[in-house]
Amino acid sequence: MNASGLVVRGSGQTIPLEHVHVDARVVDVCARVTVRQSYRNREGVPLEVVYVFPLDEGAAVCGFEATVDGVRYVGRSVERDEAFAQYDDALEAGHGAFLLDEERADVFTASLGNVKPGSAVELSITYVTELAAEGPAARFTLPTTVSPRYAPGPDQTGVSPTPAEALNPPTALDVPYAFTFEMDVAMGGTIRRIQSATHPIEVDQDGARASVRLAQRSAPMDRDLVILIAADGLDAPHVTVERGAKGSAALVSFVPRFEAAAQPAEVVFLIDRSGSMGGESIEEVRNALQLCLRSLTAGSRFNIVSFGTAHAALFDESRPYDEASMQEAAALVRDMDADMGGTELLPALEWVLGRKAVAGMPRQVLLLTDGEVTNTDEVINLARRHAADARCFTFGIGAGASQHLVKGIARASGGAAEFISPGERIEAKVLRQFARLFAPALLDPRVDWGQPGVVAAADRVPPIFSGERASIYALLDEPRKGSVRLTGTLAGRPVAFDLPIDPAAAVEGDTIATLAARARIRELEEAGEYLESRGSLQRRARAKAKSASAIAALAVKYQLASRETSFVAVEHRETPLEGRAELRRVPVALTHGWGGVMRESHVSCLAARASAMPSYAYLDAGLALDALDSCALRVEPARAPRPLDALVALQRADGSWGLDAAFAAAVSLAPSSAAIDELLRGAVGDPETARRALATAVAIAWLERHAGAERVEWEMLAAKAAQWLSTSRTEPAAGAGWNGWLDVARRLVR
Amino acid sequence: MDSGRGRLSIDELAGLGGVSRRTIRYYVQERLLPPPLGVGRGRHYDESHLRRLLDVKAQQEAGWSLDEIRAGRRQAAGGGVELPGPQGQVLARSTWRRLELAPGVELHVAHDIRLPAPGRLNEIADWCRAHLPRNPEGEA
Repeated sequence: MNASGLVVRGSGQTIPLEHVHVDARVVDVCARVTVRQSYRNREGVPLEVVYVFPLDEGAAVCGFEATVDGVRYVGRSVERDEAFAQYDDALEAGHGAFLLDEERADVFTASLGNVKPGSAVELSITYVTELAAEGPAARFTLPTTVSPRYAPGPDQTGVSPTPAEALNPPTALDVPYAFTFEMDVAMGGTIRRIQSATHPIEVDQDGARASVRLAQRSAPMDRDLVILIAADGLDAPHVTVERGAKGSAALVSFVPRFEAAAQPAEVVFLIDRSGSMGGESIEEVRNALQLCLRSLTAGSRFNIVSFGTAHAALFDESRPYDEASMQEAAALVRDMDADMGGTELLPALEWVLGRKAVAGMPRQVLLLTDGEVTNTDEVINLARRHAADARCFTFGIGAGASQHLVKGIARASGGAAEFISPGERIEAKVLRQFARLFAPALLDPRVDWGQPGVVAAADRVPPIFSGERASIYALLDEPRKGSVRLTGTLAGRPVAFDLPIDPAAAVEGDTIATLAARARIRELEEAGEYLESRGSLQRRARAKAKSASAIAALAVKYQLASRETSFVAVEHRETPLEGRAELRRVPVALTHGWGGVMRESHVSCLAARASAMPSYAYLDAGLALDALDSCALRVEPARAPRPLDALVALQRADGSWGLDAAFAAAVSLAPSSAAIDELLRGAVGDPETARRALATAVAIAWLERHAGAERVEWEMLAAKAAQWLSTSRTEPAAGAGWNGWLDVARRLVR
Repeated sequence: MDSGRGRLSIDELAGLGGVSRRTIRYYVQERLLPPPLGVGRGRHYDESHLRRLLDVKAQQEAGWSLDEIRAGRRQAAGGGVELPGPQGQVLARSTWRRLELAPGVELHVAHDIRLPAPGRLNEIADWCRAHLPRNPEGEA
C-alpha cells in the first residue's frame, strides 16, 4: 500500500480524496460547471467515504455520476429519504453506492459507500449558475472549502446528525489534495478584462472568447476562487428564449438606470466581531466603517451594534447624525477588535429588527460578517419576517464566507449582498452598498410576459437598484413573439420597461430551464412556511405535505438537487462485499485567513478563538487543538494605514475639515502659519469658518490629486464637503465665491 | 418484523426509535450503536439495538454531546449515567427512553424499566394507530 502524503497524522488512516478538477463554461452571465472529485482506496479494507464540500450558492445541481474503475453510474434525483434508503440498502447488501445530499444551498455532502480496496472512483457533479453582477463586470465564484461554522445551542442538540455536525466537517491546516481549474468564456460582446484577486490566472483571449486557467498547476483548496469578467453588452437589456429537453424557458436580463433624490434613513451597522473575523477581516471592517460614518447624510439617524457571543449597541436607540454622535462612533470603531467570541447573529439581528422604528424613516441594516454560522434558515426567516420595515444590506467577508447566509438575508429583506475576498479592498464595495441604502429602488417589480402558458420562477421579484442587473426567469409552454413588460414603483411613482421577446431567436439547451426551476425551488425553500418547518421531526412531518412536497416534485421533474431531494447512484455487484466498510471523513482545509490565522505562518490565541467553534471541527483530521500551537501558524500583521484613511478619519460630521496639525500631516502640507495667514487674509466671512473652508477645499483637492484611483470610496464624503463649502458663507480674498477656495487649494496641493 | 425472534429491520428500528435511517447510520458510524447483526441481506437489528438507540437519543436530547455519551457509556454499564461536573463533582442524570409509537403518541420509559420485546412493542404501536387517530380538526 502506498499512502504517502495521504495519511492522517497519527491515525494510520488515509484520506481517499486525491484531487479535484473543475471545468467551467461561461456563456454571457450563465455558467455550466463540472466538479470532478477523484478518490482512491489505498487501504486494505473497504471504505465508506464522506466529503462535505461547498458549491456556489446559486448552483442548480443537475448532474451526478460516479465512475468506478472506468465504469460509469449515472445518479438520479429522488426524494431525500428515499435516496438515503437506496444508498443504505445497497450498502447493507454489499453493493457500491454514491449519494449527494444538499445540506444548505452552499454546502453538500458526497457519500461513497463500499469502495473496494485499490478501487478508483471519480464523482462528477454538474451544476449551472448565474454569474453575479459586480459593477460593470460579472463575478464567477468557486468556493473550495467549508469554513468552521459557529453552532448556536439549538443547532448542537437533538438527534444526530445535528446542523452542527452536518455543516462542520473535520478541518485540517493542510490537506493532501488540491484543485485544478479551466474555464471557457463566450460573451455577447468584446471581453474587456478578465482578472482574479484571489488566484494568479492565465488568460488567452480573442475578442468575445477566452480561455482561463490557474497560473499554478494546482491550488490549495483553502479559499474561494473569484474571477471577474468585464465585457461589452453585459448591460444590454434582452430576453433570451431557450428550447430544450426540459421544455421552453425565458430569461429577462436588464440593467435599469434611473435617478432619484437620496432619502435620509435610519442606518444600523451590525458588525460581526466573533473570533473568526480576526486579522485582515476586522481591519477592513474598521476602515470601511470610518468611511461610512463620514458618508452618512444630514438628517439620518444611526447606531452600531456589535455581536459575538453576546451583542452590544453603541446607543440605546438610533441617534441623529451629528458631530458628537459621529465622534463617539468613530472612537468605538478605532478600538474595534474580533474579541466577542461566538457568532450569535440571530439574537443580535432580532434585537435590531425588534426596536421601534423611527417614524417616517426607512430602517436599513448594514451587516458585515464572515457568515460562518449553522442556523442560516432561522436568520434568513427572521430577515424575511421583518422585510416590510427593514432592508438588510449584507457583506460576506473573507476567503470562505457563507454565500447562502449573506445572499439569503439580502434576498429575504429586499436588500443586496456583496462579497469581499482577501486581496480585494473592502472600501469601494462598502460605499457602493452604502449608496444603495439611500437611493430609492424599483420596488414591487412585476413582469407581464404578454402571453399565455407562463409559469414565473418566482412569485416575488426583489427590488431592483439603479445600474444593477435584474434576472427574471420563467418556464413557457410555447413561446410567442411579443413584448415583455416590467413594471414597478420608483419613489412612489409607477414606471414601466418594455422588452421584445422573439422565439425565432431561441437557443437550444436546458440551462435557463434548469435555472428557472432552481429559482422556483429557492423561492419555496426560502418561504416562511418551509423555513419555519425546519426543526423537530414532528414539525418537519407536518411540512411534508406542503412546501416540502412541492420542492421535491419540482426537483425530481427537473432532476435537481434540493433540500428535499438527493442524487443517488448504485453500483450493483455480482459479488457483493462481505463485512462492513470503515468510515473515512475527508477533512477540509481551514479557510485561509480564518480568525486571522494564515498558513505558513504562529498563533497562541487560536485555541481561545476556536473554543467558540465545535471542537470536532479540528479533531477528526488528527489535528487536535493542542497540536495547532506547534504548527508554526502566524497572525497576519496589520497593514499600514493609507494616507486616504488618515484624512477621512479627520472629517467632521458636517462634511468639513479643521485646519490643525493632524490635518496638515494627513495631507503632507507644511506651510508656515504665516503662509496660511496670508492665504486667509482678506477672506470674506467668519474667520474661523474661513479656516475650515480652506482646509475642506485642500482635502477635496488632495483627494482629487492623490486618491484618483479610489474615487468611488470618497465621492460621497467629497460631495458632502462641497455641500458644506457652498453653505459656509465664505470666499477667499480673490473672490469667485466658495469655489474660489478650491482654486486656492489646487494651487497649494502638490 | 419477525417478532418471534426479535429481529428488526432498519425501518422498524427507526420507526420504533422515532428517528430517521440517517440517524441510525450516523450512530453506527460514530460507534454509539453496534453494527447490525448478520451479513448481506440477512442483516438485522434486535432489542439491544433499540434499547441502546433510545438511550443515546434521550441523552442527546437532554443536551449531551456525543463525546459525553461515549464517556458515559464507558463509565456506566447499565443504569443511570454519571459524568464529572465542572468542579469535579458528579452530576447525576436520570435517563428516560422515549418511543414514538404512533404519530402524536409517545411512550416514556425510565432507564431501569425493561422494555417489552420488539414484537410486543409493535403490537402496542398498531393498537395506538388504530385507536388513537389524528384529530382532523387540527392539533389543538
